[in-house]
Amino acid sequence: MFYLFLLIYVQVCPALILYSLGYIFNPVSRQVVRTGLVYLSTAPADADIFLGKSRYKYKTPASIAELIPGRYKVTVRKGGYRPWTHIVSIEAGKAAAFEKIILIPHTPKIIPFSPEAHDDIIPMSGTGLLLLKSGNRLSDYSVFDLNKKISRPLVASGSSFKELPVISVITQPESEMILVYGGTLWNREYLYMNAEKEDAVTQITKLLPEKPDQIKWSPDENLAIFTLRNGSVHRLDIGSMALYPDYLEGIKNFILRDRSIYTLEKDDTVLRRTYGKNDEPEIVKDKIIYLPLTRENAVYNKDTKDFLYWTRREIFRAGQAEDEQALATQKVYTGGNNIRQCFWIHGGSHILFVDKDKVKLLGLVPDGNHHVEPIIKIKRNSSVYYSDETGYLYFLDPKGGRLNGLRILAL
Amino acid sequence: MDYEYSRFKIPDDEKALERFLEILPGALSWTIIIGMVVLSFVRPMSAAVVMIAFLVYWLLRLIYMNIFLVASYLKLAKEKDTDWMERIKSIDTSAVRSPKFDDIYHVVIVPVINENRRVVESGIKGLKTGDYPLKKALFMIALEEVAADGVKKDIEDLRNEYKDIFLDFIIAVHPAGLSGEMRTKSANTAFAAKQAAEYLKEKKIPYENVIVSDFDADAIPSRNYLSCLTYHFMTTPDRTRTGFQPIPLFHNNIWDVPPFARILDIGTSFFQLIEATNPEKLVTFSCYSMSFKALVDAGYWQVDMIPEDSGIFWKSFIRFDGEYRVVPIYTTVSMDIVTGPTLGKTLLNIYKQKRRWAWGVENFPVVIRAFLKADKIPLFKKISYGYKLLDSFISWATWSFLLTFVSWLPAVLASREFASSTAYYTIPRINGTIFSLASFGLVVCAVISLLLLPRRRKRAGIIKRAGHVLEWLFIPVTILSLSSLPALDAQTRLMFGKNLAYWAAEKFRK
Repeated sequence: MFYLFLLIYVQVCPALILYSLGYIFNPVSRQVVRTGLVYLSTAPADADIFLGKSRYKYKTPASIAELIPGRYKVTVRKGGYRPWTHIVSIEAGKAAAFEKIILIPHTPKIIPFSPEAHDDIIPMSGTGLLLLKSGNRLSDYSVFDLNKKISRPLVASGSSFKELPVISVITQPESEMILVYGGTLWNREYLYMNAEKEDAVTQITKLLPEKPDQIKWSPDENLAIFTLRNGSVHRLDIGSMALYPDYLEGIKNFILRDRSIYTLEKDDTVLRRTYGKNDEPEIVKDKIIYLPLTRENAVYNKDTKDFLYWTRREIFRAGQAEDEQALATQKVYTGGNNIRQCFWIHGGSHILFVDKDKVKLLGLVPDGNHHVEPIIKIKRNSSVYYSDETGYLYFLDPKGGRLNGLRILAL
Repeated sequence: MDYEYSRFKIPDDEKALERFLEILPGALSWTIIIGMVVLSFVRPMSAAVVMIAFLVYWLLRLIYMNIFLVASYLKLAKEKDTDWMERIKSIDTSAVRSPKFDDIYHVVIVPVINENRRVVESGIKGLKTGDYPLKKALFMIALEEVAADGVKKDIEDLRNEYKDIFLDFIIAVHPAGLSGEMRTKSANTAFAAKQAAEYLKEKKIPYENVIVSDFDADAIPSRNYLSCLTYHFMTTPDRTRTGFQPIPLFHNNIWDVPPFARILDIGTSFFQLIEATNPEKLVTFSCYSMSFKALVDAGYWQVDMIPEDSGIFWKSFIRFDGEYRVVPIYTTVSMDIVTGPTLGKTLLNIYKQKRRWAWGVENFPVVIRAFLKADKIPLFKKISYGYKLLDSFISWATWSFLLTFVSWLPAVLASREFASSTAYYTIPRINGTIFSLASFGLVVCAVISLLLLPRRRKRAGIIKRAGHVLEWLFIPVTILSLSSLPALDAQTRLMFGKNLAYWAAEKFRK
């Protein structure tokens, strides 16, 4: 009995190991060949998989193994959704993984969120809020709660600032604070307010004697605002209403992250300082930090640790190369007309972007032949917002400017 | 072979070898565990492939063991009702060159240190209700001098009550602090056995005709234990070079303990059932019997080492140049499952007991040193036994860790290269299939455990009985924390040259 089991082991074990590495016995050629496989997972799951014209026995998520190296036409179909097709190159011993394929419904289900017409959406990412603009006065701005699905005016009806003409609104990711710049030509004002509280408005005009090139604050410490003007960073302490001019000098750009201020110096080095402390600044060598310092529109994905940035016609993905001193940049889309916004979605597997007045979905695939699907038309010159928490795309419909939602990821 | 079977009385020129052999089991176990973890980080693909090889080996071994478990259980069930006394009568003693039944005696040694009357008495009652004439049995309590006065009084009361049913009832009080001894059960039983030897000499009872049984204080032999033992003694050639191993069950308080304690000791019974099917490599465990002559010739139990059950096997095996074996006898001895007054104490006590069992690894260096000198033991036998001894301890300490932690580690730590290979996708499927097949083994264990379980004091409903089956789902966690971890603990102590203080398990019964 022992020897029988030993015999079984010496036969089964190597066979299983070879199988796991992709080796199979091809009865047609009567040779051992090394195969590859393709792995597919979709949202929603349970989609049919077609290899050429043949339907695979399992539905997604599934892996089709024992594929002789070559090119295969793979199609994924599910009732009510647009088919997804891709020409897959199979290599020996390798897996072509197509994870997180998003299937787009034939007829997207649009949810109306507000009956009023609006001009634009101002995203407040990471806060669960949206700003809606329906005019040029401060009273024309409202705050929409994504979870409660209700909106209310940004300022109270009795506020002395409600008639303020608004020139620009500045928000920061994950911060519920808003900075409003407005007023008349001879009387510009800066208001710093909390979008969650109607009457929490602080006039900070006197702290900004000159219009800065940039204004930023951190969600961890929203009583400290940093501005950049003519190469100098100034610090505003809202609590004590104090201005600390020339907090830092010789700066080209800066960002705030993780209770630190990262600055792009004149010699293009990047320094990191912990604000509030007088420690020596630390030189940052990771090239990846250059992106948000050199491109205003760089969007970070914490799952893949990649950035995406765009021009009017192209979208790029950038990540840390194996050599930390270098950046690995890849063009993922070309052919846009006026790319205005981009969002990472579904764990960094897709990019939702606005090109002119259309929202499109770019599915990133390992072989570089990315898929682009049109999603919806939106109001001309308006912005959209995608929330990872709710899974909705918030947009203004092209005809009435009403706030609508469209669920991108069907659960 | 004349050999000083001891970890401490070592010739100077062997001390380095002894240390190396003490380090070897622990080093191998840790190397396997840490090595596989490191390999999972550094080369996840290679680690995944190694795990396949291990999992296939594990599955085949599981199937192999299950087959023998079922066969052994069926044999136990078949022989449960055998009338061994009748079979003894049918033996032609001249043909098998056996002493006559009337000339055969038993010495039953029960070591006691802190067990109360109820615990010890149940074993005596078990013998009393058996089918064997106890007037042929010398009953000895090996009592530690340091036992509490209450315990001493209990034992004295037992002697007064039961002395007339035995040939004699002797209380051998083992003095504390004898030179050259550790405070261990084996030192205690060795002292009692020496007194028994004197007694038998006085009574002119030849050692060749005596079978000694070494029972734990809580052991309750089955009704036919002595008769079954006697039958096998009479029919075994080379009986004076033989030990006899019953199937240990842990039924005395099985319904009063938490599920994890129950399935762990049922697993121990399974292990012995499986071992019984391979008598060529069977080693004595827990409660067992042996020829008294063999015990005397081997030099009694080792007084400076803890594992007295396996220790006496190895000592005898070496002493008799490999001409010593253990015969499985399909009768049972029931013991208590270690427990405690609280759940926490129960966990601790179980851990300590398993660690003490795993301390049998201290036999390894002593045995291997002996094997290196034992010219008369065939090489194949030495390699075979030595490998089995080492493999049993290493697999005891490492398998659970590999199965619980390392099997999924390569997929989690997959490098980009591994994640884009076919292996990344096929290996989890293969592993999943192996675990699914292994679960059949779990079903077999659950079924056999139900068949082995004694009747509850109160009849259990179907839900409670289903619960007993579902207890087996906790096996992975239980084995890891209360079997593998104590084994690794014991090997690590030996590796660092530490000793394990003897710890007598507390016995609680409701």
